Amino acid sequence: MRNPRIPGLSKSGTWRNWASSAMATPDTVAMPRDEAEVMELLGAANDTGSTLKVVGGAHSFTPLAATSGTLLSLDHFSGIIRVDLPTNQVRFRAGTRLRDIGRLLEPYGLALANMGDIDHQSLAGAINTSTHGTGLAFTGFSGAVTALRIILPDGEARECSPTLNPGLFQAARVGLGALGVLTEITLQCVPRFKLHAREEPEPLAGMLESFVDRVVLSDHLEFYWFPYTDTALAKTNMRLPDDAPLDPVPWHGRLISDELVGNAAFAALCQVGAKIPATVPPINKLAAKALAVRSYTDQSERVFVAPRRVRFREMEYSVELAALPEVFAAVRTALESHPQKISFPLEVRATGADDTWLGTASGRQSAYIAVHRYAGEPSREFFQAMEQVFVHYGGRPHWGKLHTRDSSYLSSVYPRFDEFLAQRDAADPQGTMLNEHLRHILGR
Amino acid sequence: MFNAKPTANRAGELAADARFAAYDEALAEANLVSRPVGLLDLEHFEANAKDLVQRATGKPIRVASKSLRIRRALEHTLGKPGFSGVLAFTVPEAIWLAESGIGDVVVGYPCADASALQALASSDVAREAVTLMVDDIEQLDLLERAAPGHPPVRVAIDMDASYRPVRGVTIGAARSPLRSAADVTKLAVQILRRKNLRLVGLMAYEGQIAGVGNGEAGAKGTAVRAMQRASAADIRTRRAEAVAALETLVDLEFVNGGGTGSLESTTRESAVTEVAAGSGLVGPGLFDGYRHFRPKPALYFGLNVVRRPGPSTVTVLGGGWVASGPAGQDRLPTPAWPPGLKYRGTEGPGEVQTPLVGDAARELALGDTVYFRHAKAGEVAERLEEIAVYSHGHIVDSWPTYRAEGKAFL
Repeated sequence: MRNPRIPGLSKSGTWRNWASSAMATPDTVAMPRDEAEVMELLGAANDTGSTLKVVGGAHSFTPLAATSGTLLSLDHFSGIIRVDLPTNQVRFRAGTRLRDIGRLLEPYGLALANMGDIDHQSLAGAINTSTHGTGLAFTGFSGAVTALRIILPDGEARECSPTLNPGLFQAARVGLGALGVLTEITLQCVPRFKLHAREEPEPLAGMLESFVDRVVLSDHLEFYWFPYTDTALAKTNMRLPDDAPLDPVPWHGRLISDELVGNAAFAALCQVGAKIPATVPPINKLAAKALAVRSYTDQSERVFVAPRRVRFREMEYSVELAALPEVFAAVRTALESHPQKISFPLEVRATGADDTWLGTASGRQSAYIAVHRYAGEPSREFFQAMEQVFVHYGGRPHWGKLHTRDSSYLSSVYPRFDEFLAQRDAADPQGTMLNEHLRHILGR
Repeated sequence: MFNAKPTANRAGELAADARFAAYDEALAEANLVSRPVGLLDLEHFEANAKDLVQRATGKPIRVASKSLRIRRALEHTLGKPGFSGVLAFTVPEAIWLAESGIGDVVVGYPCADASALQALASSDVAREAVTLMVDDIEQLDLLERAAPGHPPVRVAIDMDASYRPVRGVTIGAARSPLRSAADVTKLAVQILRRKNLRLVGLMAYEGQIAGVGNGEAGAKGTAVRAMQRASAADIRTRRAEAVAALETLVDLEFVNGGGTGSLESTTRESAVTEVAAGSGLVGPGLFDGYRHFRPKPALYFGLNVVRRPGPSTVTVLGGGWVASGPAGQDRLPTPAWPPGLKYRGTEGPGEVQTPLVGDAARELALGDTVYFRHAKAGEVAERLEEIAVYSHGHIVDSWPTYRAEGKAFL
């Protein structure tokens, strides 16, 4: 039997994620067409003591989706099921890719309130890993979930909301894929809007000093820092009503800034840097200088998302928003004293607190620092050094990005970690939804 | 000459002979001597109704009132199993039908008449029974302006069903601007955001299948049938997508499609809940040209022979009842009896008189009746007050047309 086209699955049956940081050889792969098939596959895995993992866009850097049992893709579970106009809540099929959501919501005059800059992920993947954008008035995707439908390993579907199976709902909102298979997700959406984006290089020191204040004043603020330079590239998005006039990035602007600097040219520089590390600091200074001020206005989903074709590996931790300047300074010191030269810029974002149990912003306003390593370079030691700093400040790792935390650490930074475990164990007593990585982080 | 014709045709002619003789006798018996006269052959009408129901294979047929324009004929049809609801052509008509007791009337066309919209909004009976057709936000605004703050009104969305094989080529009627599921969804959202509108249905009329004869021999017939097959596949996909999109917002009461000529393909679409038909009950001239069904002619008008310009030419009084649509020979009434009568090429059917030529003219006396069929099903009712209903040798009833009831809707 030919394998279905699952992201990352090779003809030989080996699966690897986008960044090639996780690999597995599943014994069964499936792309079910309906819930009944999911129930059958999950029930079969449960009955035979096997395991089952779901893969979406294969964009997680961690091996969350790796399995030697059944690898299941929800790519047939795409689209909108129901739109409730009075509340603007939209029920999606769980495998819907984020990149399709703008187009799907457009006829309804709705949009996602916030998005990250990558949109390959499935909705289920985004909420299971606590994926987020930036903006203090907003939460990550999980914070916008108002209801969901999950198939548990016993082969039964459960409807979950704050009032229906509330414990399971809270656990599954950021469930790490460890409870069951999500088939439907209801998101709180908002009326369509435009974003005015301004990208501007500025001194790093001033950005760090003012970030905590400015993130309150701007709708969506983030900045990039090219290591070894004193320059931050700020990207500030302000929300405009949907009837605001368009002023999109002209195609040549997009070509130079996004395609050349953001992707192709940057990839070439990364390759040079990988071969001759001493060239990295001067190259980064050059790259930082090449960044121009530009501003544009476009439909929200076109502004939130940026093309990313340079393959990289990433670690991202959330910390208390107020601690950002201190944490960033420590990260900078550790990075610049690290023997490896880092070509890839750091990215700093922030979100509001949410009430999810395992969301990285659970119960606290959070700043996020993401460090990257070009995929062609060794990354383990560098990420280890970075992680030491993050851990020192009580950081919470993004569940889909590289980290080495185990259950004892995680339970110290997530007050509701034990409640999550209790729900998980009740939902999946046999560990059908677990793999090696999950056993490590959950202590199971 | 008669002996040279195939016997089947000869048998058919003899049967027709007998039938028209029976019409003449029945009209005389009922003392319906004035001409023009309208005659509905109820036996043929019933047979056509049965045939439509069979072709619809289980989906209810909404009766297109424009193809009858006789209230009693509508009511008669709605009393049969397999028929449900009326597809009306104007809002005043729909209100009138609703107030005369028809409980489900969908107006098949948009309305920009403020007084009609106001009348609908203020009639409890009409608001309950009538569904407005919309395909544009402006129509919603017109309704709100005509009847500010009106109580809830039922609306349905009309989706374009024309076939566009390549850019710039449109086959089918130019109706709704809404072509895709996204287009339909956008309007649905606008409807649902207004508290006093209820979105209850979707309609798409594939006129290029339902109303274009496909029975011609040769290359043209083959091309028409190929177009209709491709168009059926296209509308099947688009209608299913539109229904799926609307179902994310609302539970629809009906999804209407098709017409007399397309019942087979329309009813096979699972997204469709009901089909529309009207002309097929009557079997007018334009419906002689289909390959997959052949309605029996059920409605005639009879005119008096009033003069004889020559030995093989007679002139009847009246006759120029030309059908709507692109002007052409096929829009003219078809002389039905006696057989073989033709229009004079230079003259055609006139506003007052119509010369007819042919051997049969030699046999006609002044005062005799020549029977015609209209090219379209409903328009003839605009010319007549009463339709004599013929069944088994007798005129069994007389049905007033819309015109007789004082209703000139269009």
